[in-house]
Amino acid sequence: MNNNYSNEIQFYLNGELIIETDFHPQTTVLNYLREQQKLKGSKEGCAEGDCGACTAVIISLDKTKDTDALQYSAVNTCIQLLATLDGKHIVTVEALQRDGILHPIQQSLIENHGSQCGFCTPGFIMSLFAMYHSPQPNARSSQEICDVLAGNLCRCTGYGPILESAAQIEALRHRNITDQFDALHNQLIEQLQHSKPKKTLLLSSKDGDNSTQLYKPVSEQQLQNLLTEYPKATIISGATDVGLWITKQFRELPTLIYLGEITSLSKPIETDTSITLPANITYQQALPFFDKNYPNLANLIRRIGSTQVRNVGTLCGNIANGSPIGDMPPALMVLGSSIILKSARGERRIALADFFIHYGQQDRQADEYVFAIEIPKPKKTTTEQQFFIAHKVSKRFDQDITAVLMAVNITIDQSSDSANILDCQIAFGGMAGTPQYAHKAMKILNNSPITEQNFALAADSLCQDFSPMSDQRASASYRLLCAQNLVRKIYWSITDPDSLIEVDKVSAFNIDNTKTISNAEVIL
Amino acid sequence: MSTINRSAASINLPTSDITGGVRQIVNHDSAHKHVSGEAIYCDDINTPADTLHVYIGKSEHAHATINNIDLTDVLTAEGVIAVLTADDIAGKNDWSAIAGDDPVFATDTAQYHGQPLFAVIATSHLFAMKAARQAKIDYTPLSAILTAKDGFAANRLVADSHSMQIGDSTNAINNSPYQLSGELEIGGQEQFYLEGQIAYARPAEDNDMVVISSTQHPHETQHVVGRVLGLHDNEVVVKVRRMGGGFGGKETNGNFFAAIAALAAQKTKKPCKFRADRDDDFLITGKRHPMTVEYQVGFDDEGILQGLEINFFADCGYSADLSRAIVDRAMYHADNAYFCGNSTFTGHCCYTNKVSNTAFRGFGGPQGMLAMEHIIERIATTLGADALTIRQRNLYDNNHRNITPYHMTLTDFVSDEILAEVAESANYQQRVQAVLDYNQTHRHTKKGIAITPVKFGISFTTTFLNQASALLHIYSDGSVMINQGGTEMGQGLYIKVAQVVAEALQIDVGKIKITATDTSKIPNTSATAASSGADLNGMAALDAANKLKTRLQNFAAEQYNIQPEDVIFTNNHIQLGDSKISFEALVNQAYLNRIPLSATGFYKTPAIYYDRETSKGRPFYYFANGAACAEVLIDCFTGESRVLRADILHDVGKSLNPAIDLGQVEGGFVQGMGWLTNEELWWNSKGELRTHAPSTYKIPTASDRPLTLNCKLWRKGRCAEETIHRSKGVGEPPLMLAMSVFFALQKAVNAARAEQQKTPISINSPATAETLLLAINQS
Repeated sequence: MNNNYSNEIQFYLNGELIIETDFHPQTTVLNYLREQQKLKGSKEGCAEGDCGACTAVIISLDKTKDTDALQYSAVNTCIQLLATLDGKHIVTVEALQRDGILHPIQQSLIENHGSQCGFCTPGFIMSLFAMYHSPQPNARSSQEICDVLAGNLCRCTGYGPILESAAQIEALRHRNITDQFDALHNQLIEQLQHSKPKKTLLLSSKDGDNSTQLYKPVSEQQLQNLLTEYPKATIISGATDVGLWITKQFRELPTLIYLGEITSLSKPIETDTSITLPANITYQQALPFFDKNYPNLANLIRRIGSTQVRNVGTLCGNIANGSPIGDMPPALMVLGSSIILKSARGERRIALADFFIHYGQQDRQADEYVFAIEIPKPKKTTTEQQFFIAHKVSKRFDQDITAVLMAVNITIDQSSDSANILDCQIAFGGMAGTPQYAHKAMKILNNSPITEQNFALAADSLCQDFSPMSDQRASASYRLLCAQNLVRKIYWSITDPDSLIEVDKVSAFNIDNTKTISNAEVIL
Repeated sequence: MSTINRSAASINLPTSDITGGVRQIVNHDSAHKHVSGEAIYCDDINTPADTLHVYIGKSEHAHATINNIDLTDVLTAEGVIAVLTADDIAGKNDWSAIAGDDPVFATDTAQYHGQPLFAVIATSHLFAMKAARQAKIDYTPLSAILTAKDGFAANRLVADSHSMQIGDSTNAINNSPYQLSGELEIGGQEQFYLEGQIAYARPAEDNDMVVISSTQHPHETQHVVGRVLGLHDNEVVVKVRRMGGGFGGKETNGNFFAAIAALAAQKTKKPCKFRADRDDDFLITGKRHPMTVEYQVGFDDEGILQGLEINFFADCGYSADLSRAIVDRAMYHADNAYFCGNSTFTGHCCYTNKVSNTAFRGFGGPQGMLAMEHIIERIATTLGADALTIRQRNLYDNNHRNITPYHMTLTDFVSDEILAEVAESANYQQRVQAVLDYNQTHRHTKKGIAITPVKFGISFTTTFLNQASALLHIYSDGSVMINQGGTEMGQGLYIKVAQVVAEALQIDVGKIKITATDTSKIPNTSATAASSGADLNGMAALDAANKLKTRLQNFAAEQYNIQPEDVIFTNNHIQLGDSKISFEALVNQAYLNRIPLSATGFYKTPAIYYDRETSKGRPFYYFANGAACAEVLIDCFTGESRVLRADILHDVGKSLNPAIDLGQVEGGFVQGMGWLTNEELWWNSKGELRTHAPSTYKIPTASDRPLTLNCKLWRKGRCAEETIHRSKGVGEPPLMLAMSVFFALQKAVNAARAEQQKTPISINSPATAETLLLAINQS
């Protein structure tokens, strides 16, 4: 092996330093925990990151911040690659007890009768454990608690007692009940500071006739060299989609390149007019920016995957894989975002919409990588008003893949009495082989007065721009009707928002006190 | 009456001073192991290093002639030890429960997409899965039957059509002032137990086989493994400590996985494990039966049923499995809580080229009840009456309107009381008006509210299954071990049975060790199903406990020279006239005096009988009852919906463990909501199930729970029959409380339609956003 490369990773597992050398690059964390470490508390429920039974918590240093701060992130270990644990600390359900005494979260779930068959329970415990260690300035709302738990499926309880425990944890923290991880705070930071990988990792393995290798470069320079050498490489960061190629499809992926160690891809760059989010920025890390500038887009992000997925999944990955049902592309398209691609040959910037050529094909050369997405900030003028609206329609509100997604960015002239649309950008996901603008509808609405009829005309025009397909998520007729109604709904969102209720946000149980969660009454 | 404070681990003891007697709130016996990750499921058992892993190869067609299976590339794949085909089966190539039509491996014809054709044994799970994809199979595709009605039209039935009849329904309908006919489509449902199907088989001496199986029916699994391997029942042991959920999906379907693991172990003479990947679990295991319902109904000006004919066309899939009993149960429950007068219910078990559908919580009952509630709603709409009024007018009573379509006389009908209580506590009448007002002032969103009853018959309708055994040991140190034939899948059976034993012996439940269900300890067990687990096994355990108690009483009477009736078990002690000694001390004395301290207990449900030829009898020992009121909100642009509030009142008799029962009620309700709203099974035109993982099949998440859920156990609940401590079965009935959600959605749809001057319609299940929006827009 070349001296510039290392074939080992170091990480902490439940407080213990682990060194692993020369393992199969496609080893998932879950299989490693269960088969190598014989830690059987984390369960496989789906092996695709959708049920949360395998949830563990990764403690790492928050790379978006300049000072060393710990972040506790719940992740789906079933689709997390072992190689990505390098330099991190992973905590599994087995480590929560201290000297045989259960963690307050565990105790709370018992007291609330929060387990029945118990198979999902360790996953819930770990999601709640991450929440316990992610304090927020204000107690979490019931909506936020649902967000924490959206990635954990339970088939037995109906969730009441689990939500009850989640609500009580906020109270536990306010009473300063600590656990062993609180006590070890400084030590954990120190350990992580010392285990930052310095060399490029190279793992390779041969299965039969196929060889597989994984590179983990530590600089963009190395990344560019690797991509020049391996133009067919699969680039991963969160790998929330590629993880499934491995666990479900057994795809041959001869070369994987993991971006997670490249610092220059991990820090957002904010200016007065835009923000640039590089390849490693996860949904979770991007949320503060959107909460501040485009709250409706932040709410859309909260409906992508689950907390576990958003903790590792990246915006750029959602764009780069070119899915027609990725949720970020339509939203970012209508905001006029640009995508920045880099390679050893240089850098280029294109409008995001131009990146999607057709189904399965994007405008990325083999040696290029998506460096970042650049998103303009809202315009600040007194004469114009900008609305950003996004509607995601799926069978289930949380953690579901889009049937139809509409994103709208509409600018209205407020200088005259009759409000006119100065600019209207509408894009859809789930309606074609790529995320697409509704060109005819945009043409009808641009420079038009805001009338119910104009929006009705725009809605009618969708059948000229789109002929969606029928599949397990929705029929073609529903997709088209729903898309048309979403366009009609824009009118009301602008002129009479109070007449609307966004049912996806009517999701929160009553949290005034924990007893109202279930209002359960028993007679003895 | 007290509001449960879930943070209290125990509360004042209502019946005795011991900890963990009956009626007490006791935690699930495994709760601390669930939360700590220490509970051991089948896949968590540490296995010997030479353990092998099995995986199956599946049909790529819904219906095809299999010309050739070439496994050359499978055998040469990395890590592969051997393959298994039908030729490796020493016994019979059949894993079915009853009918003999479920081949372990299909040989000549593949009857559904995903049907197992062979298996591969490898050194790792991953190697086995990868190798299974290397087979080269030559098929000649055949045309496939993909709907129940198509199967019926082709005269393909997996069991004979069957009717229940009372009076002359045709005549009654024809003579009724009002007549309606119609059709309802009811979707299926995947069980989605979080722990997928799995079995681990270990060869023992004499060619015996020990199987750890995730099964609800250890005895049948034992028998099927024996049948496939060519062994007697006494050469196979099946054990199950716990399942990560079952819901009926492991009542028969676990047999297949156990048979495959055991076949591999028999062939290789090594321990072998077969764990299905989630996608394959969806493809190769049965689900709740989709049904098409056709009906004709006659009713009077008051909306009272005069005559009713219902035909159920069940999509059974390629084989019979339990379909006959499931379709029967749909018919048994097509009356729900209503006196139907003259009625004829007919069930057709239709063949389709799909996986064979099987048990799922409710076992056909939900489909039957949904059909009836759909009809009631149509009657209300036709007469312009409030649906609750129509419901109440049609309820059974305990006097004259009390004969069911299967000629059982009801003597303990309580749904009227429960329905009235829910209507009151949920403030139904005022909220109906509030919903009307809301809908008049809101154009873009609509609300709906509905209230529905549940009356669910408890007992296996196959009478002989209503039997159970238990085995109780008291060791010389006074510690107690209980074993019984029921399985634990999360429903809290083990702790309930332990509470029964604790109560009987008057010792703390903590002194009782609960052990894994094991066919070598209890033979001939029935499936843990039909909501009967605690009824049957609790009674068997009580029988065993009473036997030992009597022995100890007689021994103590003799030893201390007092009357047996003066030997009283109380609070971990034995009162002996004026003195008392500890339970442990008496037990030790009994042991030293050679008193046998082990007993078996047995129970069979009394009073039930049924003649299927005439469709008459008393198939159920009693009924469990409940009612729910739900209010929903829909977005008229997209059809998306939310349940704003649900009020539930459910009758569990006198609860053995209120916390466990409440968990069943809440959980069952939310699972039922899933069935009726977002859980959609979708096959493409080739008969391939495309919703085969949680990414595409959407069970409820935390935020789908109603915003407000008021859930109560019925204060007056007491089983009129002599069930175990007068409790009632609770596993299945609460699922059907979710019908209230479905009909509230239908009402909201019709509110949206009314605004567009459209006539009211009925919706099909599941009520996805798509169903609802298309219903609003339908002309």
